[in-house]
Amino acid sequence: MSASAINANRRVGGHRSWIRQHAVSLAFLAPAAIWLLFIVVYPTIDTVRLSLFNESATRFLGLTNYKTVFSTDTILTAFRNNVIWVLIFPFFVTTFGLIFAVLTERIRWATAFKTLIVMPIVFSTTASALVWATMLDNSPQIGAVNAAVLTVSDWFNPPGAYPVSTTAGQTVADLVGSNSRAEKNSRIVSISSARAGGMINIGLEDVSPTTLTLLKAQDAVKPQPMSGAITGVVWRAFSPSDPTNKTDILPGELGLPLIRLSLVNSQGSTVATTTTTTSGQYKFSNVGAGSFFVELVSSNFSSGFTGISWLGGSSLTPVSGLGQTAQALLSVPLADMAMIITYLWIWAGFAMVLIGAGLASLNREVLEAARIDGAKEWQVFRRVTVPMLAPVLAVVFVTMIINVLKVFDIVLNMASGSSVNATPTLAVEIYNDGFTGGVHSGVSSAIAVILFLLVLPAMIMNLKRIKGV
Amino acid sequence: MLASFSVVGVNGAASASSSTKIGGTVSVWNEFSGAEATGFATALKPFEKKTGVKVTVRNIGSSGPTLIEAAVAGGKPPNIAAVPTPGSFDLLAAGKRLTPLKPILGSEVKNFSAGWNAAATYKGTLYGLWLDSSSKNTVFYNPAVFKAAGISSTPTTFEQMLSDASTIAQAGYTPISFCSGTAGAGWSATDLFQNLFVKLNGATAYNNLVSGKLSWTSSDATAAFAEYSSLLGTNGANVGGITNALGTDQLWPTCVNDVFPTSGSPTAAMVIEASFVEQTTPANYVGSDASSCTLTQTNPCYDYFPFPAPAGSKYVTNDQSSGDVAMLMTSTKASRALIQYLGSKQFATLWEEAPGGTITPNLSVPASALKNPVTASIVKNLNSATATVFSMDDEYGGTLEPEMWSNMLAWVGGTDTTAQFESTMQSETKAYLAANG
Repeated sequence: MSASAINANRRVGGHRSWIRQHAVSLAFLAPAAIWLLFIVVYPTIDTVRLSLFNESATRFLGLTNYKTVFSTDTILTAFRNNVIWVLIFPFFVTTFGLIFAVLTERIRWATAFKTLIVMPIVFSTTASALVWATMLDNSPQIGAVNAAVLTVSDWFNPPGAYPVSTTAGQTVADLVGSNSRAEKNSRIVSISSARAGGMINIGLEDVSPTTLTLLKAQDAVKPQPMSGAITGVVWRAFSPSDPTNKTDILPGELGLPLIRLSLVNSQGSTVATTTTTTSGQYKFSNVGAGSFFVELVSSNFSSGFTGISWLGGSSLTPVSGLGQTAQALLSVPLADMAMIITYLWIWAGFAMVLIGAGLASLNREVLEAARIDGAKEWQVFRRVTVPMLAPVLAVVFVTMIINVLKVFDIVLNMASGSSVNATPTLAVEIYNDGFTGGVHSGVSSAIAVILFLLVLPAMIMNLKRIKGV
Repeated sequence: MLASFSVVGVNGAASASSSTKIGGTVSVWNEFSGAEATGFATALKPFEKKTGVKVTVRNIGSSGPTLIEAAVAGGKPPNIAAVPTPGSFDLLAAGKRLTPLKPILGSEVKNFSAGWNAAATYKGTLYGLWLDSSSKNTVFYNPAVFKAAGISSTPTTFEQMLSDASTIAQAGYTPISFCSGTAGAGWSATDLFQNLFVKLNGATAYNNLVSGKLSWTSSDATAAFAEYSSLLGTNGANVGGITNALGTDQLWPTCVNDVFPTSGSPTAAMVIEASFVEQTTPANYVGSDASSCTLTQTNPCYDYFPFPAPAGSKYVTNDQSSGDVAMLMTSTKASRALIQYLGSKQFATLWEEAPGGTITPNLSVPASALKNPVTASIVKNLNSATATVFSMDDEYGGTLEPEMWSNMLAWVGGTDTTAQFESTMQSETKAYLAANG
């Protein structure tokens, strides 16, 4: 009894002396600890509380918000995007960091190279996102990337004089006006046929007036019939003074210049080709026997390269025809890739610096020993450098997992009108649900709690590593 | 007799309060920025001078309602707050955070149409005052393009607009430049649906749909979708702009620039959006005389026509609008004087005359204060509405707002059928209202 009392006393006394011993350090720690309590611990606990209440935090709901999280397509989309980011980004950023770090050890101008690679880190993420969004713009007139593709594409697939606006859903069939019908492979063929000395006039509509101004089109004039030839005019069959009259060539209606025509015989094979004049006239001379049709060949209407929508909502996996939920889970938006590349550009330098530091502290003797033993440079790299760097690589990898789990600004700033619903990550979804529109904190907090739980293992892993290093 | 007596009484009180200096400060939280904020501040100056009250305006950005709720919870709400979300207004009124305005405003109440006052009323009590507004009942068009397509008068029915659209396509222009919205896309697509729904089924049915009393799977919603489909051109009608908006990155206000380009020629004829389109267009109004408008002029002509109701619609004068509603949150002598001033002719007229202007819901503003005949016509159109409804996404919060947008875009893009959209929306609305209703 007395012994235990003494023990207890000693314990209390020990405790007291521990406090006395550490009084100074505790005094120094206290402000930071209290500060953290307010800005980290309290918000964390309050977020958990909010996630159990309704949107205006007035009624307890239990786990309803968590059920909503896993049954709402927009949020499932965000989960999918986080998975895509985590699968791709940390691996590539570590790889690039390693390559750059090793390279900079052996090239001239290493400092200049390093500076270039590291520079994106000092730019604001929003600025980087906007610059890349402009470079990746789907119009070749704005986006540098599409402009480059356009230059190459024009060699193989030049646009026609009358490009159909495929992005607006226009087809060659929309152009059909008078005495014409759309045929497969984007051709337009006259309905009437003619023999030598005859005439075939073809009217088109839906022709952009801008195009006609560009081609300096003149008023359409019917040519005179010529013996031995087939003549005619291709014109824009639309007049504001009489919009419903498609058959007559009305005053003020323009001819269509530079249309490539083929003369097609009744077997369907081309016997001659020509091009219309500025007033839309054409002439096939020395036509043989039989009756012929006039064809407006498909190259007239080719829209050429209209730009890849890098930041659009199109999916790299085939998901069309699937339901909304299946799409939310399975599609891999092209825009995700564009954003990941931008993010790599930003963070590769950071990875390089960390790995470079690890590389500098490597024991050179081991590398020398390997070389003396006859190992080739590649073997030294693979069998010696990388294994010795493993702890640093792991720290970079795990840090980047945490980094992309909460990726936000780049996605918010790069998403375009057509991909804004396809690219949100969990962090963006927290913002969309919680901070735009009215008062609503429930579901948003639930996502935040889940995101916290997802980041936690990576964080613990990293803390352990740092302790170990 | 009694009525006239009370009017005199209130007027007397008002003049008494304005002749003596009140002093003190009033805090006002709102979401105005840019020209709006400057206009608002300009219009406040005479009040500050006359009463000696200092008005401190704080811009609370687009997450305003969240901040106001937080301030209320923290016990220190602003004196006056203005929000664009009717959902937040209802929530604050239901939570008894607001002061009834009828006794304070007195005769200024009559400066607003019955429709606007009804929209500021919660369970029979007036708690709000509409400061500015946007009419969503508008279709803006380029008169030069209409002329080039041979269209001499603006359409008065939805069907007529569709037939004009196909004529415009034949003339080589995109008939309707369709915006997919800003980041957070989808509001443009939902606005159009809401316009059709309210004209076909009326404001009561609309509000019942929002509050869950009317099912999304009802024939009312289906009828609106049927009209919407005909606009999208199910059978290859040439309204190419829609696909354009979904397929590429047609962000607001690019869609406006296609119709009213600052350089080059227009490629599209109409843009269906709210009256704020006017703020993004160059100020070159040529209304009645379209003959002088050309396709190549640097500041293109613009004009508008009211959103045409489908033929046979029963609720042609039921409109969709948006705006900012001011609420009195802490009642002091100074804040009561200010809210009364916010409802006055002087305030509304000064804001209207400030650069940028606004579409004022205040009926007492003289026509001479309005920027141009288009603005005047929109204001007239706005105030003649027999009932006003607000965008559903402003009424909803949480996940339902983005879900509705993404569902709508899935429907417009053809991923979802009408039946699929309706059943998804119905189950999501039900779940949302069960948790938050």
